[in-house]
Amino acid sequence: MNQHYLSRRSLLKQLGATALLTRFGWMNAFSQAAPPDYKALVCIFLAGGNDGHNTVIPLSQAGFNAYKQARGSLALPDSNGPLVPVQDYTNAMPFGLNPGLKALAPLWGTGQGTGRLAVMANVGMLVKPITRPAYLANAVPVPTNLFSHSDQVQQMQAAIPSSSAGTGWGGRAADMVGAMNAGTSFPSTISCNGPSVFCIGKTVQSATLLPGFNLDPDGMSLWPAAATAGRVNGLQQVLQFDSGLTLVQAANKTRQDALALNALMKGASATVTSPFPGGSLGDQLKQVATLIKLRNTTGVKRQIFFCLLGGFDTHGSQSWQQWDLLRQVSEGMAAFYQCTEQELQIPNQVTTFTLSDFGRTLQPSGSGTDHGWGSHHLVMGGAVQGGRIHGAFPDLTLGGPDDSGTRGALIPSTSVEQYAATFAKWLGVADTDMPTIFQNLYANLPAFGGQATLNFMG
Amino acid sequence: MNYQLIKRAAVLLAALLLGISAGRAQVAGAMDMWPRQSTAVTNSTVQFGAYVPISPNTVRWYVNGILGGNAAIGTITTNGLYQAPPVAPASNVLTIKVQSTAYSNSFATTSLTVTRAYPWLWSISPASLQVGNYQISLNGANFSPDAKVQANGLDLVTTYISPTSLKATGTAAITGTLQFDVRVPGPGATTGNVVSASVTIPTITVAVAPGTATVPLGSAKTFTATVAGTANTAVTWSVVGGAANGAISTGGAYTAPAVMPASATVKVRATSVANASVFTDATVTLTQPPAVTLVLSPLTATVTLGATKAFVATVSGNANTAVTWSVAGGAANGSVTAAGLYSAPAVLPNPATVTLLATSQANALVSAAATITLVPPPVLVAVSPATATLQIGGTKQFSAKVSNAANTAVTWSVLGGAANGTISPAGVYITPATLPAASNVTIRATSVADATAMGNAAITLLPAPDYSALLTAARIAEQTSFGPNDASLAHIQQVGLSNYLAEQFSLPASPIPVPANNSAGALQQWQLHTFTTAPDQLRQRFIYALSQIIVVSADKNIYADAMLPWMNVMSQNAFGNYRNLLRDITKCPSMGKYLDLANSMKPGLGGGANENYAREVMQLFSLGLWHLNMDGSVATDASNAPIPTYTQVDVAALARALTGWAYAQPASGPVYEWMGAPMVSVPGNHDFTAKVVLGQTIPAGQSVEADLESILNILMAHPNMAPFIATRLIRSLVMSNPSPGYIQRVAQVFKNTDGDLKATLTAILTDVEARNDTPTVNGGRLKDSILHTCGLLRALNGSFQNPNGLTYLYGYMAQTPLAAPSVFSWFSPLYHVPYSSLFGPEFQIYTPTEATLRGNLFFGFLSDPTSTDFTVDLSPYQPFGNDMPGLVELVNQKLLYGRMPAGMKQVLIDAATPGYDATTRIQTVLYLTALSGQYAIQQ
Repeated sequence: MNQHYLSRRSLLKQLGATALLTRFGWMNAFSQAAPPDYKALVCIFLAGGNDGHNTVIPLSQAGFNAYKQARGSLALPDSNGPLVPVQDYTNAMPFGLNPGLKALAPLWGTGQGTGRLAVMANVGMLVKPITRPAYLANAVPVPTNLFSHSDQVQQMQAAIPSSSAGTGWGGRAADMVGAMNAGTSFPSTISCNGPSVFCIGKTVQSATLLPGFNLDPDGMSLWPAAATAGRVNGLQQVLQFDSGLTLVQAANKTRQDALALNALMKGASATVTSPFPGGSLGDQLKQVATLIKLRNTTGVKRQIFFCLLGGFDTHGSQSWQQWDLLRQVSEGMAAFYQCTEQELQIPNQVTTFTLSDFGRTLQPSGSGTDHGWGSHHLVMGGAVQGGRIHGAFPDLTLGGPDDSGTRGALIPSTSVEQYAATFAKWLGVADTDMPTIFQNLYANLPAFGGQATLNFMG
Repeated sequence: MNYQLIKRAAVLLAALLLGISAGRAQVAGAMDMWPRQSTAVTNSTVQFGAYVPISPNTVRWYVNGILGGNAAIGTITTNGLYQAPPVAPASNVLTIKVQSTAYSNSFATTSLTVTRAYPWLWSISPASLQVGNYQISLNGANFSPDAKVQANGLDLVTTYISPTSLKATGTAAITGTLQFDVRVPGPGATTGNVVSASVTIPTITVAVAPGTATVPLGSAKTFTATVAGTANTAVTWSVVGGAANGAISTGGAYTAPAVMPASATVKVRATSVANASVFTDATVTLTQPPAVTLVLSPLTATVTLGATKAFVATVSGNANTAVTWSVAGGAANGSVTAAGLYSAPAVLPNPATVTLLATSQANALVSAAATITLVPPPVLVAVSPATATLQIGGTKQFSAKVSNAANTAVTWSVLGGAANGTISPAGVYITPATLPAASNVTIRATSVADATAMGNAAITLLPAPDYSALLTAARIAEQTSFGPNDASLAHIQQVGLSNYLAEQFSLPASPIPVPANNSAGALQQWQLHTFTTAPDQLRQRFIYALSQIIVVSADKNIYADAMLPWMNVMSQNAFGNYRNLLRDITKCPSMGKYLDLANSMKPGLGGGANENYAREVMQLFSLGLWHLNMDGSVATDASNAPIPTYTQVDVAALARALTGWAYAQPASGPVYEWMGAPMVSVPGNHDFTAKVVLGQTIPAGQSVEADLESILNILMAHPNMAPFIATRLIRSLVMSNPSPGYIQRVAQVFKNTDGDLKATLTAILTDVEARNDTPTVNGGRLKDSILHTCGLLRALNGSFQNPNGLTYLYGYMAQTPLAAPSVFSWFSPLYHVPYSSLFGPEFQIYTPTEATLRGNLFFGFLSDPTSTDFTVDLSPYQPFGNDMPGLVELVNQKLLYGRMPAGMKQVLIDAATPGYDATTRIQTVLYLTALSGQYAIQQ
């Protein structure tokens, strides 16, 4: 019976979208002209810890030599194809992207103002910036339980350098821009992959909207038609019944919202026609596009989405596996960008970025790699300073200045808090609210050189 | 004739002539054979012979090269007797070959044509034909079913009668001679002999029917003409003597003149178009027409405005009985159809008497009139529904439809007055508070336009059951278990609250199993099962509450052995003392792993003092972030700002005091992160310096254990402890928004008993605010996913099975059992009801998605009676499958303990009534009730 509860349900025509809209307060937004003010952040979490070393490869002579020497048998290019050549237009430094990222190549651009894709180098969780000697001497605090999946997944999503986090930075950022979404009860943080800490805020409601799961209530299609009408209309009336009890009303409101949201998502305005690749991530990003397409209907003006692709914990057989996963990432992201540009026509108002547990060791272990720390991440969108490798690209020498040990688990040069804060600021979080979201960053701002946000966004 | 002998003789002769003797093969000239180029009818035989000037003179016979032939092409014997096949082969010219057995290159061949039997034609009938279509019969022999008759070599449509008889149809185009023969087609086709027939031109005749007729002046009569002897059967009609004698149409419809001509006998004539010299007359005798009369019925009528009335006009004395209808005075007086159906106008004309006229179309001077009196329609009032059954306390919406009045307003009334209930101007009936003497009540809608027009509905009133004892028991069960079931409701009603609590406190804890495969998933399944089945419901519910304060999660502790110590500590300390619980949890290896206290070392060693547990033990397990008053409210400083409970300095100091705890090791030897015993102290890792925590000094030199006791003293003595824990527990068990007084009363018990959890729990459950069975506007708490779903199973006297395959669904519902996403548990205790200032922690995981998923799981419970994941018992509802009020009332008892609003009952009755069968209707009422906010809230 398991899958039964999540399977698609037949459309209940009785749940007319317009009638529900008027009841749930979304009508005002619906009746207004298209709001020009809209921004969305889309997080793609590469679960398991993506190997950044084989995602972005230095192609300068010295850089590639160091890479090849440290990487050994895992050094790219390999049988999966040639590297995707890119260069940072500001300094002409050459890099190669994993061949799996081929679909994103056109977004790199050809110079200033043309790129829609950038790399943020060597991002990871930090309490404070730390050097190799300080790390080895325990002289500067570091996040708890580095290299542990469960802890680092939490920390990267929470932007809190300890494993105790009840909220994520996506949810807290959404809390802070909540006023911009006033007047709509549409959830402002949405996970397309099940509940995630990333989406949880203190005040916003976070929704999980799995692709293919359409919020149809089960058991609402039966014979004869009058019996269907009886249940459907009965449910509406039960949910509208004024009990005079606040919590009862609130619980009913949630279920009414579910019916309304279901009708919305099935409506013509929620049909995305752009092509998306199949597979889990493609489906999730199509779901994101669908929800963005509803923005004028729902009236929501700031949205944060969470998608996740698993399988990056490549302790073995990494070469093909990572290539295949990054292929899904790049094809999904490229299709999503095309959709925001051509169909949604808001390419500059949607920013997509990757996040992961951590990076991986530079030195292979067999055909795979072990848990690392800092890693490179992709940022995509019309508002991104594209065509660049942002941040400090690390020295790939084993035991070198950027190595936390001997195997190339990189000490991050950029904190995930700075990375996140840059997105939050772009989304519209007021400067005065930033310390509430990124407490550790602002508590240690002098140590970060006073640099809370980075310059990779517009 | 004996062909066999002939052939033998021929062969012998040849052999003798050529001096050939047997045994010595010699070739002496060409072979020959006969007959040559012969013909064989199917099924007949032909004897072939051969000349064989060869020794030996033995031969083989072939048909088309096939030795001995075969069934399709005919067979030939070794003696040359050919047997033709019953059907000629497609290639019917065969080659018969005779070949020397001695010399294969010596042979002779000839052709043989196999034909069908010759179709003899003896005679045809008729022997002579006329130009035009004809049919002939043919007499002969050897006719076959597929035989075709040919005329001048062209196939006719042929009908096979017998081997000696055929029929054929054809067309003779011109005069002359037609030559008929019969052809049998296909392989071996054969055409027989010819028989000729002459073709001549026919004589044209015209016949008119009727030949004589009598027609009244002015009347009509139709004649028909039949032309023979030509394909062109058209005629031209005329009246002899011209128009004075009448007129006739091209179709032969004769109309007599209006005036008698000189002669009363006239002729109508049909002339052949093919030959204008051929015509025939019919004789018409003209007579004087009868007088036309018209009878109209009825002659008087009364018709309601807008209604119709049929009138009949009967014309006699003329073939034309049609009449023309009209209403005197035009449309304001109504209208009439050509069939005499009168339609009254919508508005009363003045005067209200109307004349209807019928005029003969045969004679416009003949007419009749009817007098119609128009009257307005009566005002009607219909009440819907016409009957209803309501319990005392119920309400019901009625509607009234007023017909025939512009003003459709009604006034509602209850016959017998307020003792029988009241009804609002909008038609909402509310029962009286108590059952009236007569339980059958009539409500009435009276037309405002016409006070004499009214409609009634009959209501049967039923007594309201007394649910107060049920409600009291159910609320106790909701707060002390994973939801009431029939057994617990009965038991609590029987023994009362204090006895029930005493029983629950004394029950042994449900043992926690050690899964065979160290699977945390098995523990999750066990827990869902236990929540729905355990006798020690109060302990399980309280463990569940405490587990959301002191959290360990299988998200990080992914194996059962890393969860079990925490589960056992919670179970053992649930009814104990909070100080002991904190001590045990600090030393618990599950927690040591989860919040990193295990192997925490003094500064300078390893990773140094880990602050994770130190922070959470204050923030989440004991004190919270802000100073609280005893009533749970946030204390403020002089500037009205909240006061932090602790600082980072306190966290660091507490972390140092907690250094030195490490995983125990089994006697058998070191095991990585061994979970088999509480953590042990490692003095070498402990920071022995003094620490100041929350303003209290922990002296230097204390052991790991002594430092822990000091910490417990500091925490237990902190003024936040009691209100913090009291608030958390009340929210988890009873209500999201307790009054400050309620918190204070419970906190005081916690404080007075130094953290006695049994006393604290008793205070929570026996408090007047918990025991108030009257709903308050902001009371209650939202059930979380586990309580909501476990509760429905228990309400249906069912449970989760162990094992079961449903824990993954709780992941979608943001509440995987034993696997909170973080130490902050599944939802924040400070989360608010959306768009409200009220607390509603569980609303954090009740978004549209989770609401839908919970509902879909509910439907699974109700629709999957064969599930191996859970059990439910719907049998108590079966007797009510056809009794909707009874069914709804039972669901009201089981799920809402008698609190279902009367309006909701009516909604459910209406929703379930169209259900196809009892199962569907029961499902509808249970499902919609389970989906309701009333059921979602533990009130």
